[in-house]
Amino acid sequence: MIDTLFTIAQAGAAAAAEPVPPPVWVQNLLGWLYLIGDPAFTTKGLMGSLLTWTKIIGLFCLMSWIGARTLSAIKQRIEMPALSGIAAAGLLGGLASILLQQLQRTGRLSMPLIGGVSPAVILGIVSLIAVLVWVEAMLWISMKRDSNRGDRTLLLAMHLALGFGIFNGMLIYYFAVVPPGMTVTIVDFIAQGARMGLTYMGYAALLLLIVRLGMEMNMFNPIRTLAIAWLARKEANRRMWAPYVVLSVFLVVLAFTHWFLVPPRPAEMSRLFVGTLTLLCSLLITLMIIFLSPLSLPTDIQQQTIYTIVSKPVSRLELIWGRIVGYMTLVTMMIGLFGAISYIYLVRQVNSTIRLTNEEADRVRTDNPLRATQLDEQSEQLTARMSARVPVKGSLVFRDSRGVPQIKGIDVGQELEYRTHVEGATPSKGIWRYGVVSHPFDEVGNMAARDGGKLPGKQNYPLLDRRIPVDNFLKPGTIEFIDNQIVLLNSRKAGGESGLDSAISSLQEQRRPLANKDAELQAELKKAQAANNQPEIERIQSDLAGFHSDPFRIEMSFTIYRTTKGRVGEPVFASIKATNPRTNEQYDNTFPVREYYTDNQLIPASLLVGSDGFLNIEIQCVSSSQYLGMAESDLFILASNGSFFWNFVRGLMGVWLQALVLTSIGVFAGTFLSWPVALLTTIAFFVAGQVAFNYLQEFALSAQTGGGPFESLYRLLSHDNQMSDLTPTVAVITAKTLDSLVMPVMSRLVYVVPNFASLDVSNSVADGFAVTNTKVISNLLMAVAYALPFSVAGFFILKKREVAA
Amino acid sequence: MNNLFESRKIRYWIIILVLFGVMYPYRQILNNRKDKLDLGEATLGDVDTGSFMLKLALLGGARGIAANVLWTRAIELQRIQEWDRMKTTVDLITKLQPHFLAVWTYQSWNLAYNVSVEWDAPEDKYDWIKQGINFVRDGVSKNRRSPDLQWDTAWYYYHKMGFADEAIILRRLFRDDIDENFKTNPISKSVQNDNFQVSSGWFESAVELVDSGANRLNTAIESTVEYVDAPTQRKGRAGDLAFRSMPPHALTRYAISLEKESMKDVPATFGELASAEWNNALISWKKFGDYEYETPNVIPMENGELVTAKVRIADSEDYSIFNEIDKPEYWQRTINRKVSPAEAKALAENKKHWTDRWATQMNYPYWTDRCRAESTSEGVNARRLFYEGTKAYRRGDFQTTVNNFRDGLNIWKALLKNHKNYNGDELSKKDTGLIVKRYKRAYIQAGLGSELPKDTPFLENLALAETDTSVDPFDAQEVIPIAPRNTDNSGSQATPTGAGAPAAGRPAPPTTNPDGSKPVPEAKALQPVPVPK
Repeated sequence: MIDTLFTIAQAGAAAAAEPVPPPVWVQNLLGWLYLIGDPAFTTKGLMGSLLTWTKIIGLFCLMSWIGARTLSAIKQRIEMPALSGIAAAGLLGGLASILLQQLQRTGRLSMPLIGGVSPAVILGIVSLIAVLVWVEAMLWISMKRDSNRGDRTLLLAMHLALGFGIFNGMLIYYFAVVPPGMTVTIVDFIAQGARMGLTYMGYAALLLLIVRLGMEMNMFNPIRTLAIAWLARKEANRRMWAPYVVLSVFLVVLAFTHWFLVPPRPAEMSRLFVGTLTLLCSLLITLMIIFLSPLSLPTDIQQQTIYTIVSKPVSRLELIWGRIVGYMTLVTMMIGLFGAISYIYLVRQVNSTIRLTNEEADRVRTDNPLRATQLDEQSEQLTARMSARVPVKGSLVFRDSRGVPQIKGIDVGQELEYRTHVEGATPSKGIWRYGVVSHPFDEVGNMAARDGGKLPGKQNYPLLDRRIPVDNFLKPGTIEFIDNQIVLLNSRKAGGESGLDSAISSLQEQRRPLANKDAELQAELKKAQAANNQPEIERIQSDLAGFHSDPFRIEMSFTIYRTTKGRVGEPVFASIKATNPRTNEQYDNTFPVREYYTDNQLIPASLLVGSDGFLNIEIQCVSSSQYLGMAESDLFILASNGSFFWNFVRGLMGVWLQALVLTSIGVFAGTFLSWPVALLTTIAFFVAGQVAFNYLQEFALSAQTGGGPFESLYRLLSHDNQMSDLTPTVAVITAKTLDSLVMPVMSRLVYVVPNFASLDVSNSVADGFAVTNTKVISNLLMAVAYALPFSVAGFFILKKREVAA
Repeated sequence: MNNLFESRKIRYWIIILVLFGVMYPYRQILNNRKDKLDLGEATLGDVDTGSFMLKLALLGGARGIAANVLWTRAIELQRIQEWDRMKTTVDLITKLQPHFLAVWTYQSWNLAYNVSVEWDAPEDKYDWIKQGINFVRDGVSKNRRSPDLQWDTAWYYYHKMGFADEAIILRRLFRDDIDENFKTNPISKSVQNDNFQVSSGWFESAVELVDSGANRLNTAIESTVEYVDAPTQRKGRAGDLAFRSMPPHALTRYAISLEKESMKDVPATFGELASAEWNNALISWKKFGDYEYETPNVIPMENGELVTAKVRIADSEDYSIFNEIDKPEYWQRTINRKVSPAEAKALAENKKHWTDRWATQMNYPYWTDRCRAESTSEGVNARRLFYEGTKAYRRGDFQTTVNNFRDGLNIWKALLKNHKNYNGDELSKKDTGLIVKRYKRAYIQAGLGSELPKDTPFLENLALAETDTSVDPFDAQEVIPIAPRNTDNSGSQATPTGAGAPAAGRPAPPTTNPDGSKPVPEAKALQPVPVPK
C-alpha cells in the first residue's frame, strides 16, 4: 500500500484535486531515499542488482552482528529476571498474535477492532517491541564487557540510522498525496520508515565489515595464500584421490555413452551430446567439490593439524581464500581435462554422424529422393548446431485474420502456448521489426492508430533497440557499402548539414568503375546463361561476388497447424516480405515450411543499404485454412557464425562458476560446522539452488498452491487436494500457525541460495547459439556476488572461533 | 592396539567368508526355482548387460522411482515438443524396466502415433513411425514370450503405415527404405517391400506364439492386484477372434493394394503375382476359419453338467456338418459322453448359433468369397481393366476408358455370378458402383450418349455411387489431383516438395497482398537468392 502511495506521491498525483504536489527536488530526494532505503524496491539493470545485493549483504551483516553480540551477552549469564521475563513475554506474545491472526483468518474467532486495528496485530507489535527492548539490553550488556571503537560506533550509527529511516517515513507521509477513498495513518508511514531504517542500519554494519576487512587485507599476502592453495590441492589429491576417482568415473561413463544415449535423428545428435557431456562434467565436478571443500577445515581442526598453520603468521582470510584457490585450481585442471576429452569425443562423433548421414543421403538419392532431402537437411542442421551463431532478434507483433493489430497471434488451442499462429490466406501475419522500435504493447496501439489514419498516442513503454549492425553485413569496398555511405551522407545533407558534397561526389567516383564492371559482368552472365555454359556461369558469378557484399541469412523455424489435411504430401507455404522502411526497397519470396527444421532465406545485402539498421520482416501463411505457429525468437538474422570451440569453452566456464560458488559455500560451512553437518549443508545448498530454485521462488512470492510445508503435510495425510478450502479444525489452525512462523524464514532463503541453474549456459551451446560476452560477465558477477560474501562470512566466523584453543 | 586391530580384521574376514559360504547353496536353490518358474532374465528375451548392471548395481530398489521420474520428464519433454530428448528419456525407462510391457506398448504407440502426427512432412512422420516400431521391436527382443508386443509391432506396420492419411507416401517410403532389418518378415525371414506383407508376418508370429502356449506376461501390477472383473481385452488370448483374423486381413490388404496405385508413383501389379497373393490371403482366411474356438457360453446337461462346444467358423460356408450335429452320436464322439436327443439338439443349436454369429461378425463369407473371386484370372483381368480405364480417364482418353470399363464390367459380372457372398456385400456394391459412375462419365464425355445402355452390368449400383463423393484415400490415382497436361502423363503430380524442392511445386507468390494493402509504388523487388544446399 505504501508503495502505491509513494508512487502516486512521486508522480505528482494530478488527479487529486486538493493537495498541492511537492516541488520536484523534494520528489527526487524522496525517490532516492526510498530507492536506497526500501529493502524490496530496486531499479533496473546492473545498478539495481548491485543495490539489491548491497542491501541484502548489509542486512545479513546487521543480523550477524546483532546475533553475535546477543549471543556473547547471553554467554555472560548475567542474572536479570526482569529482562528474561520481557523476552519470554515477547516470544509468547508473538506466538499468540500469530495464532490469533490465524483464528481470525479462518473465521474461528472474531474480535472487535481497537482504533481500526485488530487486537492480534496490536499484541504482535507489543511483543515485537518487548523483543526489541531485550535485544537492545543485550547489546548494551555485551558492549560493557568487550567492545572496541568500531562496535561502539556501529551501535550509535544503528540508532541514528533507525531514526533517520523513521524520519524518512514521516517525510513521505507529509508529502504523500493520498487519493480519495484511501485511509492511511501516520503509523503506516512510521512502519515503512522503520523498514527503511533497517536497511540504513544494514549499510552501517556493512561499512564496519568493510573497514575490518580492509584492515585484514593490509596483512594479506598472496604468496602465503598460494602456499595454502598448494597445500589444499595436494591434500585433495592425497587424501581422497578425488581427481583420479572423478576422472575414472568420467571415462567409464563416456565409454558407455553410446549405450544410454542413442539420438533418434542425426539432426539432434550434437544437442543431446553437448547437453549430456556438460551435465556429466558438471555433476562430477560438483560431487568432487561437495566431498572436498566442506571436509577440509573440520578435519584439520579435529586432527589438530591446523595448529601447524595458525601458529604461524597466517591470516584467517588467507586460510579461507587459499583453500578456495587451491580447490579451484584443481577444478580448473579437471574441467580442462574433461573439456578436452569431451570436445575431441564430440567432434569425432558429430563428424562421423555428418559423414554417415551424407553417405546415406547419396546412396538413396536416386531411389528415395524424399529421404535424401530429409537427410541432407538433418546433416545441415547438425552442422549449424556445431557453431556459435549470433542472432539479431527483432520485435514481433501480429495482425489477426481481419488485419487487426495484436500482441499475440491466434491461439489454436495447443497445450504449449509459447507460439501463437497466423492464419493462411488471410491478412494475418507476424511482423518482426528491426531498428529503434516501440515496445510491442505500444506498437499494437500505434498500428491501430495508423490504420485509422491517426497519429500514434502516448508511449507507455521505453523504446527497444533492435537495430541491425549494418556494418557487419556490408563489406568495405563493395557497391552496397559505398551505396550505404552515400545514402547516409545524403540524408545528413537533407538534414541541413553542409560541406558534404565533396565526400559524396568522391564516393560516387569510387562507385562508378565498380558499377561499370558489374554491369559488364551481368551482361556476360546473361550470355553465358543463354548458352548454358556452366563453368563460365560459375566463373562470372564468383567474379560478381567480389563487387557485392554477401547476402545475409534469415533463419526461421515455424510450426504448422493444419485444420485440413490439404493435398497429401504438399507442404504449407509461407511468404516472406522484408522491407527497408527508409528506402522502401523490398524482398519477396514464398517458401515451403518444414516443421521443426530451420528454414533459411538468403537476402541480398543491398536491402540493408541506407537502412540505418531498420528493417521490417513480414511472414504470412499462403496455404489457405492452415496456420503457422511463431514466437519472437523463431526468426532472426544471422549476424555471424562463431567458433564452436570457444562457445564450448564458455559453456564449461558455467560449470567452473558453479564450482566456485559451491566451493565457497563448502569452505564457509567448514568454518563452523563439524564435517558431516558441513557436508550436508553444502549438499542442501546445491540441491536447493540447482533443483529447487523455482520452488524457492514460489516460496518467496508465497505463490505455492496448497499452503506451506505444514499445511501441505496436513493435506497429504488427510488426502485433501491442493485447492480445496480446509475446515478450520485445531489441526489446520496449528498447521497454518506453524507455516506462518516458518514461511518468512524459508522465503528469505531465496536470497541466500545461489541459482546454480542460471549459471549453466550449456543449452545455448548445444543449440549452436553463441554465449555472449554480456552473459559471461553477468554470470561471473553473479558467481562472485555469492562467493565473496560466503568466503568473507567464513573468515569472520573462523576469526571469532578459538581454533587453536 | 595394533594387535586388536589385526584380530578384528581377521574376524571380519571370517564373517565375510562364512556369509559367502552360506550364499552359495542359497543361490543354487534360487537358480533352481528360477529355472522351474521360467523367471530367468535370459528366458524372457535378449539380455542387455548394461541395463542389467544399471538395475542391479547402480539403482537397486530405487529403479521404480527413477523410472517414475523419467516418465514424468518424458511427458514434460513431449509437452514442450522436445521429441528427440523425449525419445532418449523413454529409452532410459526401458533400460531400467525392460520387462514392464506396458512401457513398451504405451511409448511405442506414443512415438508412432502421437509424435509422428506432430511432424508435418510425410518423410518425418515416417521417421517417427519407424522409431515407434523399432522401439516396440526392441521390446519384443527383450520379451520373446509376449504375444502382445508382437501384435503391437504388426499393428503399427499394418495400421499406422497402411491406413494413415498419408499412406500412399508412407508406403512408398517403406518400399524405398534401405533398412533391410526393418523390412524383414519374421516368419519368412525375407525382406519385403510392402508393409502389409511384413505386418502379416508379425501378426502370424504373434498367433503362433499363442498357439505354442505363450501368454501375456504379467506385469507387476497385474500379478498383485486381484480384479473383481478382470480385464479380458488382452491381445493374445487363444480364442480371440479379432486377434486371429489379423494375418489374413493383412494379406488381403496386401493383395488389394497390389491392384491399385497404393504407393505414390508405383504402378499397380496384376497378372500371376496378384492372383497368387489373393490365393495366399485365401489360405490364410481358411486357416483362420479352421481354428476351433470354444463357445463362450455353456449348455446345461440333464445331469447338471455344463458343457461347451467347439466352433469352426469355416463351417458357416459349408453346412454339411450341420446335417450331422443334431444326432446324439456326433456329440458322443466329440465330447466323449452319452448324450440324449434333447441334449444333442440344444448343443447343436448352440454350435450353429455361434458359428453363424462369429462368421457374420468377422464377415468371413465375404472375405473368402472375395479372395476366391479375385484370385481367378478373370478377377485379376477385370481389375486391370478398371485400373487402366481409370488411368485413361485421368488422361482424358475417354474412348479407351469406355472400352476398358465395358470389357471389365462384363468380365466382372460373369465372375460374380458364381460368387454370391462377395457380390451381395455392400462393400462390393460400392466398389462396382464407383466403376459404373466413372464409366457413365467417360461414356458421356466420349460423346456416346447421355445415358448408359440399359444392359450395362451393375447399373443398379449407380444410384448409390452417384450420392457417394468420397474417394479412396489409399489410391494415389484418386487422392492426387490430376496434373496439368504439360507436366506429365503418368497421372501423378510432381513429387511432394520438401524445402528446396523444384520450383514447379511452388505456388506463385500472391500478386496482391492478402490484406488488400496497396503495394508501395516505388517498391523495387529484389531477386531471391537461392539457398545453397
